[in-house]
Amino acid sequence: MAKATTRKAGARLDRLRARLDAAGLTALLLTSPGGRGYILGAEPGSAVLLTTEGTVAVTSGPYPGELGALLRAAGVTRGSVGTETGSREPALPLPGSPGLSLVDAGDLVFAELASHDPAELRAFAAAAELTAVGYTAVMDHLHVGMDVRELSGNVDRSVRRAGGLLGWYDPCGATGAAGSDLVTVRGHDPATARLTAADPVRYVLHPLCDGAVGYAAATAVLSRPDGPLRTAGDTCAAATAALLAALRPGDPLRDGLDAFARVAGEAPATCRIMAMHGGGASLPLACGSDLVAEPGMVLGVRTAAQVPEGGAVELAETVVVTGSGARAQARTPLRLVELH
Amino acid sequence: MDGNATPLPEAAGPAPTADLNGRAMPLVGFGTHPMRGDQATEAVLTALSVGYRLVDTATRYRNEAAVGAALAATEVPRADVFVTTKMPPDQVGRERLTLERSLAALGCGYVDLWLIHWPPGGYPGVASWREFLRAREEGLVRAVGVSNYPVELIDALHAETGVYPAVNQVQWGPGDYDPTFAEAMRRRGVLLSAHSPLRSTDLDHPVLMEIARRNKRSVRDVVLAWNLHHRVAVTVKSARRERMEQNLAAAGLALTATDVEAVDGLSAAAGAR
Repeated sequence: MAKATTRKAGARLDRLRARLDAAGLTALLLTSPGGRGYILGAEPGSAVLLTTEGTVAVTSGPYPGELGALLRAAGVTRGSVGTETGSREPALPLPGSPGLSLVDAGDLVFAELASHDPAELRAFAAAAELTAVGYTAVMDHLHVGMDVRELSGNVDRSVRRAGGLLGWYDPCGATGAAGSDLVTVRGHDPATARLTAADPVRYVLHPLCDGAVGYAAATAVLSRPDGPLRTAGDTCAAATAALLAALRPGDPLRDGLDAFARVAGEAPATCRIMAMHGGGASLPLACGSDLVAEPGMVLGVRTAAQVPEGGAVELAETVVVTGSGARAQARTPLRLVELH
Repeated sequence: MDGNATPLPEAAGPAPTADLNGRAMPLVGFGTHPMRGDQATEAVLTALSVGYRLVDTATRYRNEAAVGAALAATEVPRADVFVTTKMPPDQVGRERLTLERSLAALGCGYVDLWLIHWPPGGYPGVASWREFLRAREEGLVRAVGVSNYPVELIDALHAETGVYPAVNQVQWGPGDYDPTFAEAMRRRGVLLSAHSPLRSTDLDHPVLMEIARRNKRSVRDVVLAWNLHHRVAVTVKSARRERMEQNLAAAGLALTATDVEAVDGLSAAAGAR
């Protein structure tokens, strides 16, 4: 059942409706936390329905029966409804609603969530600067035996001193919930919460600034890396560099994913490209996406290479698509950092 | 470093100096963090014009190119300017690349002092130190040192290479004063250099305010003069010309032995002795 039906104006809705019109869609169903949050902020709910006529409805679930009723209530009885399935399947009929069909609109949503006006770009640049501050606060003080809570405290103090907000939004999180910390750390001894020489330390930084989220991840090892770890680091660095080099305006964004896969080869490595409005809580770019990179897009790039004996090298960066390529914002090292 | 002051060239301003491997290192330097871009360039140009002859930057500051623009634009000859930069700890294994990038950004054929910015991973960073020494032998840097190093890590570098750092730049002010640490640096011939000399200092402390009042100077001046009295180099930063001049003039403030002892006593470490 619909919890609320409202009519909202605003630039975001106007832009999304323009995209719906251009795509020939009569409505859009946003199911990802990032997509919902983009329209309604932190409003809870399972789905948000947006029609070209102006209706915004929050539903408790994207179930066909409920969706059909919601569309009828909004006066929509014919046409295609975009969804965030990420599926490349052709249009599917909406059960119980003759004249209505469901089509994948993942690219449409991604394009909107990746696009920014100049003011927002400034906010993302400031957030990325905070990420760099947080990176320094971690990297300069890492040592074997360090308690990860001390590490988090360093980041917290440094970021706040630099004007950041106390809060986080994990771009890769499943819920998109905000929390009360700025850094996610992996690779410590779970029994003691302390760093070891053997385990690579991976940390993701995500400070908030003026409504924008900074985003970067780095991996460091507190010893001279052994063969498998070094190989994973080299693979991840080379494949990440290839991914970034492939993000060129006018070219499909998936070229970045393909470039990563080519360089990583058979190595156990993964990558994703995310729109930074809503972060990774929105759908990541689909492998088969046809979306073309455009100047002004802000993207989160996250890559990882597994170490066969355990652990991983994880890297991430926020990039802005420019007229000539992709410009890194936080400029943290996209390689395995050795500290010894 | 023998700790004896040597004169700078006449045009090099009023700051006292220390002898660093035969090169006069001004004891009052101009810090550039966190300025960047045009602001950093303008600030360095102003600092040079009012008499600063040491410019302190770092790879981490992301302003070496801006500092280099000022060095290119100033009428002060490169030979009269002491340029310090630092390699961040995440560049272990990439020391030469880092230095080459610093030199390119600064537009210099050499830097006067190159520091390891933080102990990498809390270790001494012996491998990096060997690369630093190699760069010094090749003339790309005049002197090499460290920053934020405890005594034991400095000793570890010496144990492995036989060479002590020329400088250890640490956060150092009345609130940080540790006579044992200062003495350890002096005995090893390591020049103590203070960054953020005011950060840990209670500028409203009655002892400092009374000394400032009596000398008709600011508490900031007193803190800087106190460092210089101890032969501690200080790096101060300000984008304002007036403040730059004021900081530089602090070198002319002579504190009495009683005043110095009173300021020494403000830190926890000194109080625990």
